[in-house]
Amino acid sequence: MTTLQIEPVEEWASESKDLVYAHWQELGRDLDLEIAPDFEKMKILESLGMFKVITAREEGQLVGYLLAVVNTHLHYRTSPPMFIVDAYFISPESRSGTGTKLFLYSESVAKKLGAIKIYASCKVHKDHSKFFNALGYQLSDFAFTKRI
Amino acid sequence: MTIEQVIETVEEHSGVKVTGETKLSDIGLDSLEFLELMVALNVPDERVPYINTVQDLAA
Repeated sequence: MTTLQIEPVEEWASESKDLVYAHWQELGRDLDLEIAPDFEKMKILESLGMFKVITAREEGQLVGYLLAVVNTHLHYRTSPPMFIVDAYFISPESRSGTGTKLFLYSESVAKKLGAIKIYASCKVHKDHSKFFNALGYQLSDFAFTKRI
Repeated sequence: MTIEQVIETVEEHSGVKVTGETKLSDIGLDSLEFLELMVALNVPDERVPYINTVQDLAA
């Protein structure tokens, strides 16, 4: 049985090492850098109500997660907060519908937190456009990066 | 929708034989196929995160 829930950073951090490594190996573009999530910074943001970890578990085992920053937008400080997806990952063995559930659950969490917009992105080499379009998202930005 | 109708619809989408106890995560649908199945069965978005087995789709 798959369950979805908000979990403390501390709990997710203690169990996520293997998944985070698999995530980085599959999707990372900077494999020469050490993968070292800043859990302490995440906890600080969490304590301010600005960071959420949403997990997917199968029979209790962690199989996926979505990390999001929840905050008012710098350009719209008088408007309700936005829900900015920092990262998401589902274990390759658990992808049959779990990603859909994770995003729909996260959307319900975002609404409950009063957010009015979700920002999510995917890698060019792992294009999830059709998935996002099917969930009602619209392509609104192209993001560019440059190693310097 | 009856459980028989749900099973028939799931089998049409997945191409595999299922029962009420079959986990949806075990029938090999990709994300878009999974979403298409939810649409075909008129499952409201808010219920999708809590669907685990074929039986759940008939509830």
